Amino acid sequence: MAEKKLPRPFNRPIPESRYLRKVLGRVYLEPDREYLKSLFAADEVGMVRLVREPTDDERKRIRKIAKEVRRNRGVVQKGKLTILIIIIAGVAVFDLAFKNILVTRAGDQLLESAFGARSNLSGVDFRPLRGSISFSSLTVADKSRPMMNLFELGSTRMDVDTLRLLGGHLIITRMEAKGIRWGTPRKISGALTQAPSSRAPSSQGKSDPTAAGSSGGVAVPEISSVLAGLNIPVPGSFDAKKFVESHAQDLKSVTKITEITSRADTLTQIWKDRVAALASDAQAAAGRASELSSIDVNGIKSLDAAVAAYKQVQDAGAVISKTSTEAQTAYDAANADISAFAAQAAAIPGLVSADSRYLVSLVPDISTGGREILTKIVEVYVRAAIGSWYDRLLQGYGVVTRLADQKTATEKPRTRRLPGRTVVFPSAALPRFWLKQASFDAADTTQSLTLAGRVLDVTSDPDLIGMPASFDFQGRSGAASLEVRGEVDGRKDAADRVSVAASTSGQPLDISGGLEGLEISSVKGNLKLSTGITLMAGRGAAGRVQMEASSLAVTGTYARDSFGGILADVLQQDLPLEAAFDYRVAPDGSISFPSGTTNLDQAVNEVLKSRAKQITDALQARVKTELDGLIAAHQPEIDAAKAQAESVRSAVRNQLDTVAAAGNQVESVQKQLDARTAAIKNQAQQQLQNQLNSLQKGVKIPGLGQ
Amino acid sequence: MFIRWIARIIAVLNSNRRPIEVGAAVACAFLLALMPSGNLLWIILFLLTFFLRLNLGIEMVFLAVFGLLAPLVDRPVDAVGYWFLTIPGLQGLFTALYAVPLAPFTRFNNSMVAGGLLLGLAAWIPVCLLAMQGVVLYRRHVHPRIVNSKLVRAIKSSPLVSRLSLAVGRVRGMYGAAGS
Repeated sequence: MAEKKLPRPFNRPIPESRYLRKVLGRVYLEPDREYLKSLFAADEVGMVRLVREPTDDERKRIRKIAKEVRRNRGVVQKGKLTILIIIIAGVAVFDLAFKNILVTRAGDQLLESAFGARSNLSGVDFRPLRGSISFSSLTVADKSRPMMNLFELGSTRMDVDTLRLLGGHLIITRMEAKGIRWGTPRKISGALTQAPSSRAPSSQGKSDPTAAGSSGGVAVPEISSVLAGLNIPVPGSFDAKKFVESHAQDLKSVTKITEITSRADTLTQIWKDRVAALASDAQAAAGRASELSSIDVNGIKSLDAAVAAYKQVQDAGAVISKTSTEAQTAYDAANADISAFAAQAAAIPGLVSADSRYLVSLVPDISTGGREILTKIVEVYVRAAIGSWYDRLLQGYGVVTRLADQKTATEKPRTRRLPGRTVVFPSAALPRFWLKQASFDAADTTQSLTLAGRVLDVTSDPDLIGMPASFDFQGRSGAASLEVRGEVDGRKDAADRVSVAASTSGQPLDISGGLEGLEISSVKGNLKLSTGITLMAGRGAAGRVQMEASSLAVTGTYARDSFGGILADVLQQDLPLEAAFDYRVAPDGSISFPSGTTNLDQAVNEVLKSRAKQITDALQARVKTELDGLIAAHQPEIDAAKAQAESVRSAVRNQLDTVAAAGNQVESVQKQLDARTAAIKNQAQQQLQNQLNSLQKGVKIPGLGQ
Repeated sequence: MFIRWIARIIAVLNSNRRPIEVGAAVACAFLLALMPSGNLLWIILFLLTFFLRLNLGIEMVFLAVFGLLAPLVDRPVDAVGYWFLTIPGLQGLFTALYAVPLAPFTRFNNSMVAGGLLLGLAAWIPVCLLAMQGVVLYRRHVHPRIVNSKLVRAIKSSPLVSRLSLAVGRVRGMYGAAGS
């Protein structure tokens, strides 16, 4: 049997230096080294070779040693490395073959977690080296309406920063999408089988306006129900008499008239008695005066007679004077009472006017009512629009929030070892997701529809990039155009979460229902709408809506003088109708309108107000007539009271005149008496002087002259 | 399985394998034990050892042993790592490094990872030399005494040891004869 050859490196002579380094240097067990030294030795030329022929057992041992020597060569295991390379190559081939499927699944999962509804991505082509992803179509279902798509994209291409992708950052530098559409129907429900349960109650708990907006349609109430809430009087059904009667207790003129007539009755009663007493006194005074006429002043010859007559006259004069004073006092009092009465009576016309104004003010201002009607009509549509937009805003903000939530996923805590401290290098920090710029457009030549939009800086960490996500959108369909701009700010310290400004023009306005109560069948025209809404952190939303309706045409069977006719005139005039409303959306979704302005005042001034003025004037005239009638019913009482007051006054005056006449008579008698007394006095003095002179002639009295 | 692992270690110690294979395995196990796992750097280092000529069995055993002891040195590891990461002169380097793709997955900016790597690398050569010296000493002095002792001879006759011996023989067949 032929002996097997020894394995390398023992099968041929090798230089000693090489033998020591490459063979003996790789044998680490001392017995093996000693064994090799005994079997191999260097010859005279320095070549190591066998010194004797090995046995079969020795050959086996030499083969094992040779194998170990070969194994101890090098530091890298080439076999395993080769296997690794083959595995990597296999994975690479698998990835290249299935990368599009993997990207499709990853994209669907990302979108489904962001929008909370089913996503369908198709026709994906991922080019990692080029850094581009494209797909032929994408549909994302509407979470609140599973049988509708929230949006649909056609051919789309994205440029992705592949190097950053390896670092765990999905940075989309540019995205272009064509054929974007919203609200398209689905054949299969877009609801996820395991939808996030935490958000479901909040969406269900929305109030009616928002919920209505989310369902895509708002029930527009009948205009008659709107009118019913305004309490506007219709001329034909207005009962002025009942209206005045219902407010009679508030009318000051009626109260005053009642008070005056009552006062007149009291005065009449009082003065009847006083005039009777006064008349008695006056008669007595007149009787005393008549008694004086019996005095024959010329017949008084003596001083005693004169003194007696004088005393009689003085007594009569005192009585008459007293009566005269009483009569004058009564006259003055009567005059005062009558003047006061007259003053109160004179105030009645003023009170009537005031009451008339009061009653007229109670007649509702139809022009204001008209504005309110139109405001309420508009409000219905504004509520619908805002509810829908508010719902969309919440959806958009929810997407951003969910992206940010993914960023804040915390690392699992380690139990046994310290977690360590992470040193942040801010200059190198990047968000996990950042869509820098996305543009989309759609065109439908059959409907002459063009849409274009742009989204900037959508990210999972807005604080890191330091700016809000923004978007703008333009759409045009025929003469109608729509423009939307806005920002979504997910930064922690942002006061306003979402702000959106939208405007439309050339939008057809077609109201063909709900106005039957006014006998208006349709209102058509153009609508220009601009609105802004700001979603505030935890405080709901607020915004403003501005509307302009022009070129309005009204059709219907309304009568000219009906309210429908007036409304038609207002709507059809050349002046465009404008309205602006501030609104607030509470956190629970309810919408309120804290303020609103409109040029409907001007429009109403032009048409409705003039028409309304006629109606109002008619109403006011009827109220005034009714009030005049009410006053006229009391007029005889007032006149009678006046007459009674005058009769009191004349009665007192008559008595006063009687007393005065008596006084005059007494005065005349007194004058005659005075004259007669003076004459008697002179005559007596003369006789006395004559007698004295005659006595002086007969008797000489010493000491007297002469 | 356990017997097989023990047999493999014994086979390596008693075979013609280079002592540096054992030393490197122990040093690598020490380095990996100091670093927290679950980051790309640890995984890369661990996978690297698969392609180097070092003894995986010894590496695994010592990784388990050092892993049990590693929490005892967590605080100094954390302190060293934090000191290293906050050296002002290296901030530019770290910032640039952090911007390198995949680098954030290594979590090199974590003080435990950086400290473990730093201390593990610093201790790699001493640990390796110590382990190598231990292998040499074992082979030169301990192994012959053990093999020739009466106790071992008696034990060798037991069924368990005969199984162990058989396993060692198989392993040696794999790794090569270890002499008589």
